[in-house]
Amino acid sequence: MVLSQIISLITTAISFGTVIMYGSLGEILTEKSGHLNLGVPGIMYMGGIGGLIGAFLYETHTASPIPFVGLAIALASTLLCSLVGGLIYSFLTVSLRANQNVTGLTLTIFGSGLANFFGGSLSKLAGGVGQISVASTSSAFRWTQHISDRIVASLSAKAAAGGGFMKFLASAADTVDRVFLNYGFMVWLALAIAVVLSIFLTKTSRGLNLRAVGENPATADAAGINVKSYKYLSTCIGAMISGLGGLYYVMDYIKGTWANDGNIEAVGWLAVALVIFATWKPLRSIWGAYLFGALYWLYNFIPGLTRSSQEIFKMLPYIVTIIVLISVSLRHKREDQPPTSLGLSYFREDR
Amino acid sequence: MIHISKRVDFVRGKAAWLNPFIGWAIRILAVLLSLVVSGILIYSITKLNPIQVYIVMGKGVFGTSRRIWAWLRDLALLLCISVGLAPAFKMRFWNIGAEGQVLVGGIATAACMIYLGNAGIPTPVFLIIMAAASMLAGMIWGVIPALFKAKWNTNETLFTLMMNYIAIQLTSFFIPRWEHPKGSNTVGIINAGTKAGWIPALLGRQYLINILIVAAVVILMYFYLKKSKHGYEIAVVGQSENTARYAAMNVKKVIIRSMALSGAICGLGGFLAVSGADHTISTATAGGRGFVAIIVAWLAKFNTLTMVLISAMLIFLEKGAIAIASEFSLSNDVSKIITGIILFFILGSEFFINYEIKISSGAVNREAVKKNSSDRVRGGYWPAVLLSLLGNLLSGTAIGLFVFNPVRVGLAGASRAVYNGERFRPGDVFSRFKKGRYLHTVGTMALVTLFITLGLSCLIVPGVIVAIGLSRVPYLLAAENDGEKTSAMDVLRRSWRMMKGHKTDHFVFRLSFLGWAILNFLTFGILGLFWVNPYFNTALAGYHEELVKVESQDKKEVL
Repeated sequence: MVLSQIISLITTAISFGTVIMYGSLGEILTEKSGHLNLGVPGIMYMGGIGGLIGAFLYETHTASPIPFVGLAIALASTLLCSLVGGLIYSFLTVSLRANQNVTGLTLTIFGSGLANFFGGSLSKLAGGVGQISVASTSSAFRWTQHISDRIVASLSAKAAAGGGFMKFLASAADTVDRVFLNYGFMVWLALAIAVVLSIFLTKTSRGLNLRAVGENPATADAAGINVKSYKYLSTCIGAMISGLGGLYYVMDYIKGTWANDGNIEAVGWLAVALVIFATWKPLRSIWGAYLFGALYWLYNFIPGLTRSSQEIFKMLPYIVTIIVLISVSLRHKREDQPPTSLGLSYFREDR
Repeated sequence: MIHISKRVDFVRGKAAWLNPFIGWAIRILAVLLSLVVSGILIYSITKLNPIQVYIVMGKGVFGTSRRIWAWLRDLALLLCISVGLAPAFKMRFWNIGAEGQVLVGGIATAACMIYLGNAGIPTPVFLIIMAAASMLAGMIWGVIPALFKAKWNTNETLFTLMMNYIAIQLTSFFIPRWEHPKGSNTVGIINAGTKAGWIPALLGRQYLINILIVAAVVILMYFYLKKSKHGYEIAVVGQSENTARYAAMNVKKVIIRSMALSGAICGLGGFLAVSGADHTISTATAGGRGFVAIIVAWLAKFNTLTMVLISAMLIFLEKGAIAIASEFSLSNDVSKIITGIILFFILGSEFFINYEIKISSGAVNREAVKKNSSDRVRGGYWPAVLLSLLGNLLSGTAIGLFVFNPVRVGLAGASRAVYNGERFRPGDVFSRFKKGRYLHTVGTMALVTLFITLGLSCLIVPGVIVAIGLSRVPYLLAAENDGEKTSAMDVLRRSWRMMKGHKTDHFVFRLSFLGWAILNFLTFGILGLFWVNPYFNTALAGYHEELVKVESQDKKEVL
């Protein structure tokens, strides 16, 4: 019983943590260029609804939709929608030098409005009734899960015929499958993005340039780095990564529907928190995200909680973040500090 | 070259008093533009006439006196929070935590209403107790991040942001304890029968007291920030902490004190929301107002009176959009979309108020070129007219590619001669038809046309850029000496290189003839025939002459 509960907590943590991870990976890339984008929740909303609209339009306009085409369309429209969000933010903050916090918050208001508006009335606007559901596209998002399920099924079929060792192997494979393989491909994609991002930031010259822009744009400019294009690119690509989190949430986590419960916004703020928790390092945000996921759902696994006291447990990720924030400022370790020019807009003529 | 610099003022001298008005005019223009954009968006979603939609909005907010009072009530709440943020923001302390501070204020108020509601305390005293409790709660919520900021410089933006969510969870913690009726998972209307702890109506007006409290806060805060010693200290710390320290101010004390005040006023907002409006508490009590207030406070440049205007507009939009939503049975979230669009435009417009954009003439002196051209055309009038006439005549022919293009190159050369005041040789115009030059000219010019057409097909703008980038080609071809032969692509490349960094400049140069073009149009082209076209052609050739000089100068400097 205990083991099965632990397994269940791990799977919950991984599948929920992945949403947070996407958001925070995008935000890490953005913040490395010195831009604190508080519009992450809004961008995740835009990404999520973009993918849903794309898949919905495809599924309603074709007689027999092919799941993987739906997946491609959903991915493309998510990237496009979150790119629009990133472009709005970067045009206002980089080119027009608007205040980053205010622009980000506005983007969150705009994105959540846009997403909940279309999420609530998409099927009505299309002349249908009831909730949106893009079941076939959503199933395509879990193809890795189907493959691993099939392997385990064939193993246990063999085990039924075979001896004791085969039975043990089958049950072990079943556990591994349930803990580590029971996810859609976007869980693995998030891990890949984290690794690539980490290599990019620490091992490539462009990554170094980007960090220079975030630390001291004036110096980077003097060294011949095109500050504006680095800021634009990192904000826009960061937005696209964050947007994928919205897509994963909509297509995989809640299985291709829309819920007007403000969950994406809460996750978006958790993603901002995770950036601090991970001290701006993509690899740390992997286990950070899973930890946040576990902390967020921990109350489900602790016996004897009332409806009231379980809410205290949901505070945990935020409290942990505050503790990290304080300890980072206390310890003053140089590699754990936020980018120096975070939140300041750069103006070459300003001396 | 585009040059951007901090703007000191729009106009100087006697008209300087106009400056603030120009700033506001730009903001109003931004709002109007954003209404057009939202109108297009509304139209594309609903196929409704946008003007009709805005009329529905107006009716939805100001249609009945009840609606106007509801508007004033919400306005007062948003204003209260925004004013609460002013001291923190003026100090450059990013208090993103207003949402949480409002909520804990609301929790404190609701607790008073629930636990003290039946104690029989006289209403005025009870109101004061609740207000004090809510302010204390908000103050605690605000001071916690401030303490860490003051002591260890902990990032306050992220700290206060996290405090919001702890406050939301705290609210969720209390809701099951206070729920009514049981199992509903909502607190319900508190003291629905006795109305204990409700802000009463004044002069028969339900929300008058709310509005009066906020009005008092607004005015007090205005003077606190502008006239008091504390306000001055806040301003200095906001400008530069080092300066403040140098002036022997206790920066830590200022930070903590200002955040205590900021949190307390936001907490008071929670009191107004719970006791004065909703009479219940939920996680939506603050309803995102804490975030909107941040934008209000920022846009108002911490001036509490400007905040009144901005929050009035935002609440109008919110209520109006809700009216549209219910009238056309759409989702309420449409209000957030419109609010977002309008705020984007206002945020963007600040750039044009704070910065000056000068499009400098770059290296080529526009006025000098134009002056010289007009002098030359007047001096040797007929050749110039003849040249442009010839160009006009041939440009219309279908064999343009084979006849007009070589002539155009010849004309470019001849115009250069006019600009330089050289003797006019009619043979120049047809010099490109010579054997060995003709095919080269036709081929190169066809390539230019091809690239421009390709560019134009990608939504016009790239085409214009390509056209400007390749605008040197005729002049370069005309300047080629006998026997000299560069490949077509090399000519194009050279043109592109020459125009690098001069494209905007050249565009503006052409644009500066717009007035003449309009006059030409008004005179049915007659003015063009005898003045505008020769002048324009000569000036374009002159531009090239000057550009060549700049280029050779640059080369010398490099050497």
